[in-house]
Amino acid sequence: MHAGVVHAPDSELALVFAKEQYGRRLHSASIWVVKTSEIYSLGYENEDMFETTPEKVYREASGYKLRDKINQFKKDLKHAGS
Amino acid sequence: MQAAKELLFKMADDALIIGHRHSEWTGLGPILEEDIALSSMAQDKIGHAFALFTISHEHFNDHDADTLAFQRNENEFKCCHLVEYPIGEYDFTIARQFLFDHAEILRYELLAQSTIEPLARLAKKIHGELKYHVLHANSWIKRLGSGTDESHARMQAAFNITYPLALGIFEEGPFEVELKDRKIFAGEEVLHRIWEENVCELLEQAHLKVPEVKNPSIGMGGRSGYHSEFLPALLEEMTQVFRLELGVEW
Repeated sequence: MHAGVVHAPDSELALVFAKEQYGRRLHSASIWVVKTSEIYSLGYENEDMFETTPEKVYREASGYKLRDKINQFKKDLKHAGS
Repeated sequence: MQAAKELLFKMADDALIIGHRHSEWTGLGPILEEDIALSSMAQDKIGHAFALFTISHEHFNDHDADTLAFQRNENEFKCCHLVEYPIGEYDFTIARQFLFDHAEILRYELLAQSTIEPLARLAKKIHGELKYHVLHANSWIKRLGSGTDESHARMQAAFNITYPLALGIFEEGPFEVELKDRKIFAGEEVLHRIWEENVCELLEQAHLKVPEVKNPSIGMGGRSGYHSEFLPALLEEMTQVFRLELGVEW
């Protein structure tokens, strides 16, 4: 997970700075650093590629409202049994 | 109204049918990421079809999206032949995607100013999705076109088939003048011209030749309801579940 950006003269110090800035609160297992110039990015001008993503609830299990149907089915079964 | 509907239907049918074709890669993609990419773009395309049918339903007094998608006969579909062809191997699918999506993104860009407001809104809303579809296609064309001898030969062969078919995207309908006059859509001719410039430049960059079109009637007829031999089987399969129990709520 990308934690943030640090300004450092070399990789080793970047790790030290990153440990201080981004590894001081929540649990961390490791840290890695990469030069910003080595990162090939989509760029914020393409942010619109993600615009509709939050609407795509069909990609999540929670996007399928089945609970009511299951409860109704169980109820029907009970009634059928009694 | 007829003019607007004609435009909405050919766009919706193209999206629905190519979406269905893309979905056929689910579980069969050459690598996992591509399996997901094609499945995800399939969902996007079917979403576009749904949105277009819904515009026709809400603004032009038409049936609802499900009825329009699943209960029309073959000759009522207005998709072009390009989208109907089976997925073939990955080279074919990617070549088709490239040619189709370059037309699609331009079409929606032209429609962003359409006097049919819901259509203009849709065009703006899905522009980011189309940008990604084009990025996906461009990346593979570049990679495979200038990859190995085999990948290059396969891409060239795929374009030799798909390029002439793609011209069917721009087959003109009876309402071209009306669409232009009413500022609904700039027209197929304009779209074709810009598409050709973009596509040819990218093909050249990928070291691929733009195929010569010897028979301009290839791939034509879809817009007036005459389809390739592949559409009936696709419709049969696509509507199978819907027909199991009409009107059921899933």
